[in-house]
Amino acid sequence: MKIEHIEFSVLSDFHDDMLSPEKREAVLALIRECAACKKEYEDLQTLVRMVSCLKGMGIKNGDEFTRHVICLIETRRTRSYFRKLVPSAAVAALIVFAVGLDYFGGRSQRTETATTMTSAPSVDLPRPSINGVRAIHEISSDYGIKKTLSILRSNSARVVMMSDSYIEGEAPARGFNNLCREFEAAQTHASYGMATPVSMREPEMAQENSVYIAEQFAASGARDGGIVRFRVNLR
Amino acid sequence: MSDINDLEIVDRVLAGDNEAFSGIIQDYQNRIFRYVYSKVYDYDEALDMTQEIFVMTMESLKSFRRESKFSTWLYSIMVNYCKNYRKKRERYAVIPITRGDGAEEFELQIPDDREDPARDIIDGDSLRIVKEELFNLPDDYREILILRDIEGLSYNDIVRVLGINLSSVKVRIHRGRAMLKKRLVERGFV
Repeated sequence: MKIEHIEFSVLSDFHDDMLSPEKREAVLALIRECAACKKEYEDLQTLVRMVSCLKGMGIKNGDEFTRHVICLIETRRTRSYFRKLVPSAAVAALIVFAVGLDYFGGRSQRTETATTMTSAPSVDLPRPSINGVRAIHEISSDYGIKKTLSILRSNSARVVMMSDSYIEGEAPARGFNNLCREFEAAQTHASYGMATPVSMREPEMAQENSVYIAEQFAASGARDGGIVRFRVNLR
Repeated sequence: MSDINDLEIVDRVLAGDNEAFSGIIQDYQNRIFRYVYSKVYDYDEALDMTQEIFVMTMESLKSFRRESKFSTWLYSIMVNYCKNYRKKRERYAVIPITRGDGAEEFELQIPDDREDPARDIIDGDSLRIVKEELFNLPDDYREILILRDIEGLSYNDIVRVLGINLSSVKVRIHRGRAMLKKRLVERGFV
C-alpha cells in the first residue's frame, strides 16, 4: 500500500477491525512509522471514546419506568381482551334485537288485528296465519260479478283468483269491515224483496279491474299494515 | 445481558410470565431511550416513545422468529417505530439543539469504571459539547454513530437493524466520524 498518510476511512475501518489481515498489518506498520498517522489514529480513538461516554445518558428513574411499562402492558392486554369480545357482543346484540323486533312486531300486528275485531264485532276477521297458512274469510255476495268487483275495487282489495262461483283476493285489514258491510247490505236488501243487481260475468273486465285494484291494494296495504284474505261466494 | 438470557426471558414471557419482561425493560430502556431521544430532543416525548416501543415489543413477541439476536430484533422495532413516528410528526425533523441547555435535560454520567480518569479529558462539559455536536449531525450519521459507538452494535447488526448494505454502513460511519471530529476540533476538542 503506497500512501503517505492513512485515509480517515481506512483508520476508521482499522479501529473497528473491519480490514483484511494483510491490510490491517500494513496500516499498523504505517501507524508505527508515521507520527502524523499515529496522531490521527489517536484522535480517532479519543473521539470514539468521547462518544461512547454518552452511554451515561439514560432515563432518570429506571425502576419506576419499568413498573410503569409493565402496568401499561397489563392494561393494554386487558383492553385488548375486551376489544376482541366486541364483535361477539355486537353479534349477540343484533340477535337479541332481531328476536325482540320479531316478537314485539308480531305482537303489535296481533294487537292491531284484535282492535279491528273489537270495533267491528259483526265481522269475523281471520285469525293470524299459522305456519304460514293464512285463514280465508268467507263472504257471500248477492251482487253480480261486475258489481262485486266494483265493490272490491272501491275497498282497495286485490283479486287473486276468480271463477264463476267465487272470487278470492286480499284486502287491507283496516278497510275489511266496510267491505263486508257492503255485501251484507245487499243481502238485507234482498231479504226485504229488493232487486239485486243483475249478474254479469265478464272475465276481461274483471282482469282490468284486478290490475287497478292491485295497484290500489299495494298502496293501501303498505300504508295500513296487515292484510286479510277473503273469498266472495257468488250466488 | 447476553442473548441467551434475553431468550430465556422471552420464553418465560411467552409462557405467561409478564413480570419477566421487566428484565428486558431494565436492560434495554436506556439504550432505546438514547436512540429515541436523539430523534426528538425532548425528554418526556422520548420517554413516551420508549415505553410505546416496549409495549409494541411485548405485543409482537410471538412473531420473534429467533433468526437474529433479540437485541437486533428489538432495535429493528425501535428504528421502524421512530421512522413511523417521524412520518406522523414532521415537526421535530427541523428542531435545532439549543447549545448550553443539554445538561439540564439530561443526567449525563461519566462512567466510574475508567482505568485512569485523571488522564481522561472527558468531563461533564466535554460530554455536553460532544452530545450537542453529535445530535447536530445529519440524521443518517447521527443514527449510525449512536448505534455503533454508543450502543456498540456490530456492522452486521447495523445492516440488519437499518436495512442498508454493509458498504453504506461503513461509508456513513466514516463520514459521521469525520464530520464530528471536524466540528469538535472547531470547538477546541480532540
